Amino acid sequence: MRISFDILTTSKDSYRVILSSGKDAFFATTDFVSLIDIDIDIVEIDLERLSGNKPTELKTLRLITTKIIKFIKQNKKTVLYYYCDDMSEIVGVTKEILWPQEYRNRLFSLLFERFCKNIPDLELKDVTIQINQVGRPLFMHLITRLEYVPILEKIRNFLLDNYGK
Amino acid sequence: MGTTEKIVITQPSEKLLNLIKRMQEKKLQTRRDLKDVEPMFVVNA
Repeated sequence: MRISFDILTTSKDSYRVILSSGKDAFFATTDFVSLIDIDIDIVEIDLERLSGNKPTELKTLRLITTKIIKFIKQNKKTVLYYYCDDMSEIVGVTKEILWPQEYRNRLFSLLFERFCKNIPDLELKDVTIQINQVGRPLFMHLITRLEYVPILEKIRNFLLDNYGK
Repeated sequence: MGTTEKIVITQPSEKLLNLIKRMQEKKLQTRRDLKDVEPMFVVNA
């Protein structure tokens, strides 16, 4: 499964959003597949800047969030997965202030909380996984509807038991 | 409604670090492929 769309802003910046699942996804490794014993899609969210260098506007972030929430509304049996990019800088934010992945993590959490307040009919859970790699933290998010929270719990416990302390 | 939870892995195993490395490589490949792949649709913000 792969869905991709571009967002063009009035200031001519553009972004590509990709929702994808498949055998090359992080949680599609044998360990995780055997762990999840029901038919559910683990969908990775990719967000890439295509052009422009202006700070991303709130209305653009809101639009991206709206599209992603629409996807999870239409595809109930889904766990969304987002890796906070640690390889590209953020316009206006230097590493001395905040790691780019930490900035993305905070922004993602904030958007999730704000957005969820406005959709009382959809109950979601967001699990943040922080991995303290040597010298810098890394962040991932797993999101699903409340009925599939046991799957998040399985993944969480498996990660803690088998992939680190 | 939304609920949140945070877990912290303070001592990632080699296996986890290798998985992360693979994921970063995949992300870089996605970035390289962007110009060659057309989006399914375009939205104006």
